[in-house]
Parts: sequence; C-alpha cells; structure tokens
Amino acid sequence: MQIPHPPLDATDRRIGAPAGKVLLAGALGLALAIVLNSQQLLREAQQKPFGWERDVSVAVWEPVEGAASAAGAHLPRLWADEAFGRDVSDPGTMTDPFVSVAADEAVDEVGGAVADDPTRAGVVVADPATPAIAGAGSSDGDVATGAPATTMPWFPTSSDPLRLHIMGDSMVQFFGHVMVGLANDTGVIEASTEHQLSSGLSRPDFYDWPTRIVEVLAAEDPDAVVLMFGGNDAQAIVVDGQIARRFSDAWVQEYSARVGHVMDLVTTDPDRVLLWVGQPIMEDPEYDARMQGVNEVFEAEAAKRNRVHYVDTRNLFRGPNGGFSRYVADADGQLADVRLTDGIHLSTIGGRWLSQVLLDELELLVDLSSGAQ
Amino acid sequence: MLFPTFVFGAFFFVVFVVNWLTRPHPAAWRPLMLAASIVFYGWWSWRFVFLLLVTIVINWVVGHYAVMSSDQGRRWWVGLGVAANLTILGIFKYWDFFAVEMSNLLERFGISNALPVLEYTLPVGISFYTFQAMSYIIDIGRGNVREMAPLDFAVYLSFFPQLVAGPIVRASEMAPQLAARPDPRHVPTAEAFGLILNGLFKKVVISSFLASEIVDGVFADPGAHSGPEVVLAVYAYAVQIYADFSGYTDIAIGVALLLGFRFPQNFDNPYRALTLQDFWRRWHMTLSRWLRDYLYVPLGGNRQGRANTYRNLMIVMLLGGLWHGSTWNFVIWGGIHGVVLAVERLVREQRERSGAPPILPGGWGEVVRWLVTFHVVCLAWVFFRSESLSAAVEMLGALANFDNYAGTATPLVIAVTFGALAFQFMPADWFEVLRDGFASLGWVAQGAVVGVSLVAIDVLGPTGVAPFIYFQF
Repeated sequence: MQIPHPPLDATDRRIGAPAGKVLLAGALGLALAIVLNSQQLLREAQQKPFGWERDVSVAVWEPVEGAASAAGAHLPRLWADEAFGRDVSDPGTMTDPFVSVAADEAVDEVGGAVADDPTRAGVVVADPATPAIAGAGSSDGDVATGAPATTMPWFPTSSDPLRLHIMGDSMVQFFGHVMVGLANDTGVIEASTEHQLSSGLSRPDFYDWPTRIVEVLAAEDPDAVVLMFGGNDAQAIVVDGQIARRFSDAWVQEYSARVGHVMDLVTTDPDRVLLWVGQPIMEDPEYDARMQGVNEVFEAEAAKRNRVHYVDTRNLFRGPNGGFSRYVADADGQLADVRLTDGIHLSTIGGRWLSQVLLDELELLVDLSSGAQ
Repeated sequence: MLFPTFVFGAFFFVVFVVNWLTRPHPAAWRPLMLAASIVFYGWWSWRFVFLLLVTIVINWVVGHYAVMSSDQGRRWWVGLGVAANLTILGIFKYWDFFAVEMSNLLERFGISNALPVLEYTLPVGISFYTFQAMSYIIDIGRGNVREMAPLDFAVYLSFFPQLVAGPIVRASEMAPQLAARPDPRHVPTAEAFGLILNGLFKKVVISSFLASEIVDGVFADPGAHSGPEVVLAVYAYAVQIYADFSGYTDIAIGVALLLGFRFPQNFDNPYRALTLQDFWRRWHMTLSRWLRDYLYVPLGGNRQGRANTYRNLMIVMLLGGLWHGSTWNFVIWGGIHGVVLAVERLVREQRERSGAPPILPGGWGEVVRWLVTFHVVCLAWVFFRSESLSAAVEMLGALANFDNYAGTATPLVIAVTFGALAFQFMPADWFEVLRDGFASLGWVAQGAVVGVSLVAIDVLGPTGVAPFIYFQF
C-alpha cells in the first residue's frame, strides 16, 4: 500500500529539490572534500594502529591521494594548513625517529653528563639500594617504586624556583593543570604542562615526543620533569621495517629502548630529576593487563638509571574490592569519585591525588620547605 | 557514531538512498530504519542496544494496555510506565550518586560500605529517550496521542538523528510524519545542508577552539589565572556549550530533514534573552516544554497561588538540574535558575500591581535586564561546568585574582567569544537569505559549496573530534 504525499507548504515547494539531485550534490560535496583533503586522510590512515583497519584505510586512501596530488588538488589544503601553522609533512615522507633505537643506539644507562650549573649541582643523586617512598594519599600500599634518591643541598626559593614541566598523553590532560596549580601553590615551584592526545612512544609518526622533549629541555631547562605515557602504546610498532606485535620479544626490546632513550634524554643533565608515572589500574581487564605490561617496561628501565623515579599508581586507585573502582575511599573513609566514566582517565579529584603523590615524591628529592616560610 | 566523522558520512549516504527508495513501502522502510538506528547506536556499545530495545518493548506494551483499559486502569498503567522509565534512569544514572552520598554520611557514624556502588556505564542518550518514552505514555493516558504500531513506536524512540542528544521529539509530532509519505521531489536540501554545515562549524570550530584555548585550562586551575581571564573563560564556556549543543541539534534537524522529517527547534538565540523566563523559551526548548507540560502544569503550575507557583518553579528547575546529572553541581545549577525565575516573577507581579514606571528609560532598561540575565546564566554555568562544588567555589574565588595573568585571553579568543555572543543579535532572517541563495544554485554548485565548506571546517578545527557535551546526559 502506498501512502499519499502530504501537502507541501510554499517554502518547501520553492526551495525543495528532488532526492536524486540531493544525492548528487551530497556525493559531489563529499567527493570534493575527499580529494581536497586526501593528504590528511592518508596521514590519518597511516597513523592508525598497525592491523587490518590501517591496511584497508591506507589501501583506500593511497591511490586517492596519489591521483589528487598529481593533479595538484591537495594544494589548497596545504596552503591553508601553512597559513594556520599546521603540520604539513607529506604523508609519504613521514619518518620514524625511533626506528633502530634498540639496534643502533648505545644507550647510556646511567645518564652522566657534567653539571653545567654549580649552584644547582646534583639536585638528586640516586641510590639504587635505598627503598622507594611509601604510600601517599589514601592508598593502603606503596605508591612509588624505582630508583630512590638522596636530597641534595639546593633549596628552591620563590626567587629561584624549581622549574617543573609535565608532559604526556591524555592522562596528563586530566591531571597536568591540577598539578601545576598545586605545585605553584608551594611558592617554590614554577610548573608548566603540555599534553598530546592519543600520543605515546609507540607511534612517533603520530607525534614525535623525543623531538618535542629535546625542544622543551633546550627552551625551558626544567629542573624536574614528569612524564606519563603508555595508554596508547600497547600496539604494534615498526622495528627495522618489520612490524613487531605488541609484547613480542622484538616489541619489548624496541619499546624498552625507546623508553630508555627518552629517560636518557631528560636526565642527560645530571641536575635534572625525572618522575615517570606508571599507568593506574584500568576498568577493562584486557586493557589493564596491557597497561601492566608497559608498566613493567617503565619500572625496569627506570631501575637501570639514576635520577629516574618510577611512580607506581596502581595501588593509589585500587578500589575496595582490590580491583578497579571509580570510587575510592580517602584517608577519612569518604568515597571519592577519582576516575572518569571511561574507566581510564582520572577525574579532577583523582588528578589531585596523583599530583599530591608526585609532589610528595619530589619533596623527598628536593627540599621545598622554604615555600612554607 | 559521531556526526562529524567520515564513518557517519558513509553511513548516512547509504541510509539516505535506502530511505527514499523504501519510503513508499512502510513494511520495508520501518525495519530498515530501525536497523539503521540500531547500527548507529550500537557503534558505541552493543550492550546498550538491548537496554534501548527493552525500553521500547516496555513502553509499547504499557501504552498498549493503557489504551485498552478503563480510565482507572489507564491511570494505573501510565503510573507503571512512568515508574518503569524512572527506575531504568535511576539505576543507570542516579543510584551511584545516592549510594556514595549515603555511604559517606553513614561512614561518619561508623557504618562502612553501607550501600553498594554499581558503577554501570551511563548509556549514551538515556535521558533523552526515556523522556520521549514517558511523554508517549503520559500522552496516551491523557488521550493526546493514539497508540502507535509497534514498529512505528520502535522507529520513533530509536530514530538515530535525535536518539542520543535530542531534540526531545514527542510522539504527537512524530506519529503523523511516520504515517505520511514525504514528497521525494521536494526535499528541503538547502535548509538541511545549511543546518548541517552550520552545526559542524559550531561544534568543530567554535566549541572545540574555545574549549582547548581557554575553557578547559581555566576551569582546571582557576587559581593560576587572573580574574579577567576567569570571567572570559566563563563567557567562553557559555558560548562553547551553546555552540556544542545547538550545533548537534542543527545537524540532527538537518539530517532528519534530508530523510523527510521535521523536528521541533531546540534553540532560538538564547543569549539575547532579557529575562530568565525568556532564556528558557530559547534554550533547550524541547526540554523546557517537556518539564512545563509533564511536571510544572501537573504540579499546579501558576494556578494555585503565588507560594505554590514559586514552589513549583523550584521543583521543576531542581529536577531539570538533576536531569543533566547526579551531582550537587547540577542541583545548584537548577536551584539558581529556580530562585531567579521566582524572584523575576515576584518583581514583575509587584510592579504590575503597583503600576510603577520602568526604572530606566528607553533602551537602557533592556541593556540592564540583558546584562543581569546573561550573568545569572553564566553564574549557573560555573556550577554546571565545574567538576565539583569546591571547584566551582574556587572558580568564583578566582574572579578576585588581580595577578597571575596566564596569557589565555588572546585577541582571537576574545574575538571568537564576543563575536559569537554578538551573532545572537543578528537579524533572524540571515539563515533564510543564505538558504535561498543556496537553493538557487544548481546541484553541481551546491556540491562544490558543500565540499569546500567541509574542508574549511576541517582546516579551522582541531585534530580529532571530542564527543558532544550533551552525550553525557
């Protein structure tokens, strides 16, 4: 049975168009957008985790991008990106700055550059035999592990504050600002933060953290650095042109080398201390297992180095049943909503807890008491 | 599935073709459209598709038995239906809030872990589709709407353009459109493409820019920013949430138009309102009228004396706040609106009784009323946006910071914030002018405009698309 058309009003009759023409206009619009945007689409396809989805996406967009570029159709977007100061690297020329780190680089596992500022010489000297700091916040167990330290005779003051820089992936988005606030409140720390969503150390073709870290160190020369990576890192990586599946031997070797490389970049200056934050317990059991895997790499690499302090956060956010929980009791037994509903990121309260733990850790390494005077 | 993604573009391309090919044949169109909506919703989580289907079944069955019953029985069935919807909403949205608050209270008396915390993931759009379901049940009870066929009802409740963030479309608006057959020779292309592009621009460019450039940073650490920056961040959030939510609505209405359905408007330049009552006639209009027709009026509205009217306003706004989320912040947000609505009403009635002349002459009175209304709305947004009460208080306290300038008040942020606010005062027909101009183009030129606009939006917006703010409600 067919239903009759309802009466049209004058506007619909005047501006309406046949569905077929709408389809043509829409298809043309999408096609044009794809052609003009082909480099960006290919770049996004290449940045996907290695696997069949990436293979299909790249297979689809590569010929489109090739044809569009040959015709010069990519140029308007290129000009627009340049005008807005965007990354305009050709997707075909993207390189992996980490490639062959494990094979080629002789990692200096103890850091070891000469102090360039005698007034701040040796903010931290690690002592691998000394136990880690004990728990903070409301957690029942240890919060931090890794190479501990002895405090050095340098006292940051309001006129000569400790420069702290916090970097990482989306986890930092949710606690970086909070930590900056708490740190600045001490009066003797000058803190700053930056994050890059969906980034990590597995896919430098998506975001090149080593290069960025070198830039930050050169520009800001921080006395302390907080890094938090790993949430996006449990994925296949390229090792010498071959794809290594996550947690395969080749993957662990390469990822460990990358983590170590970043740790060494930061601690090349012996006056600088690095707090490396481990991933907290996660809601999804499979994802949580993967995060334990990357945490093991972090902990092992930190243990090899002076001035690198691995901060284990799993116990800090463990729920009453020992597993993941959004609600964790604080020191007064009051339940606090410490995680976001995605079961991954920290809430502001959770970010405050983590920030306090990190500041407590920092205080064990550097005497911050002059801020309280 | 997010609207501003390539995946949705491909999905909608297929749905558009299938829609117009099968629309003359309801027996084929209904299951296909239901399937499309389930795919759209299941893209987030297949688990919650079952909750949606259970909601559909419960409400249709209750509505069916309500129609078949006597007056007394009908009231019983309507009560059961409303209770069932509120129970579903309560379990997923409100139980943990209640359990945590009670547990923390009892902890002070030495009783630990008094109530279990369920920690269920909040299904996307649950507040929207349960409110639509309740409107159907209540309208059945009132005799305002006829019983819908099971598949029609399933398509109505799950219809993907409005499923996850409204507008809250009533059965009385959707049922006639489901029964009709729109003319495929007169699809309102220009209006639909205009709304979709406008919505994408608001979401991808305006909302994302303000969120990343000032709002997120200042709300995360207000103490590190100067008072003027905090004020600007609050203004920017007012623009961000409007651009985000009305952007979604524009896209939803545009997508529905391309499929031959016309949804009610949800926004009408809310920041040009001169009173809070006027604001609620312009902001989230489909929720406002839902609360008015299914809560305020049944409570007695303004028919039972002044005190009861104020009480009813407060109840409606407090529950309206709780509709958004189960935190004290949303309660306070609703409370601010309720108190100011009541005060506004009191002042207006007293002035009308006394016949007092306007306090300020000419347009100055309107300027002052606009300033007061806008800033009350902004004050309430501080609680709406802040993650906790203490964070909101910290934000308000930071208004008094006379140092700590953090450099977030860039000329571009200021221009976008105030430009977007000024745009609310544009003549109402700007959209019609553009729409008619677009309609006068041939399909090739229309396609070119759409393609170039999509790329321009992508260039101007940040990488990646954040979920719409109202998805969490």
